[in-house]
Amino acid sequence: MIIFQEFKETKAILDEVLERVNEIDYRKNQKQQLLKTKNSTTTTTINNIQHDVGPPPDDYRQLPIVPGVTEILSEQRTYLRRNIVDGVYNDPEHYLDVSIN
Amino acid sequence: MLTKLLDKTSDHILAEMLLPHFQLKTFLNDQRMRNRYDWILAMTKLLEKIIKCDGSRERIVMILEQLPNTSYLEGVYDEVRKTHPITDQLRFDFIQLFLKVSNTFLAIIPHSADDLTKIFERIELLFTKVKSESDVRIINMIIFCLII
Repeated sequence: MIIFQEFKETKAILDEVLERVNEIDYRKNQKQQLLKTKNSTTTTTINNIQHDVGPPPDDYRQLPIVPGVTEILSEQRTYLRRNIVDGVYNDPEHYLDVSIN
Repeated sequence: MLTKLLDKTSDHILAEMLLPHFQLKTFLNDQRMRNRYDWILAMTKLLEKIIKCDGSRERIVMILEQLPNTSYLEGVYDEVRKTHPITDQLRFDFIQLFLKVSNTFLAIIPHSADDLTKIFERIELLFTKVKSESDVRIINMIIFCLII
């Protein structure tokens, strides 16, 4: 009977410990999922940037220097000019367009 | 040295274990901590005492964070499945002490829980076995009573 009581008491502590372990595992999994999502978002952004090829859709001279509310709240992705790290610009117009944007 | 400390107060044990000359890491990795139950039990008792020190969280962490990857934990892993030589039952008192230490360990340093998990799994398995054995014993007793 004493042994059964000891068993019951120890089992209660074990359950508490196992619950704590499960909580830790759950938090660890959540963190990993969050990191995975974050990484995939970063990759998508990089891919999108890399897809910005071809001539820009707008004239840099017409773009406002200070972004307006409409632009900030707009969910439309901005066309990002590809920077030229190694190579030459097509013409002065191309150079100004990339530098200003 | 370990057994001498057992009679001291929790605060005294904590202070003593943190002293450089105590060499806790050496104790935790001593081969006897892997093979000898008296050593493992003494260390578990000391750890169980120090976790009771109120307001010494940081100092408790300094001790508990030394536990992973030690001979002590390997020794505990082996000892939890062994039975008491007289009662032939699992040593519940020892398991209980270790679980109390683990509970505090998990609360304070949850990121180092991996080393303890296999011990918990073993205890859980052993307890499931004990539970089913005791269920069988109860059923046998009921049958015996019914026959009489």
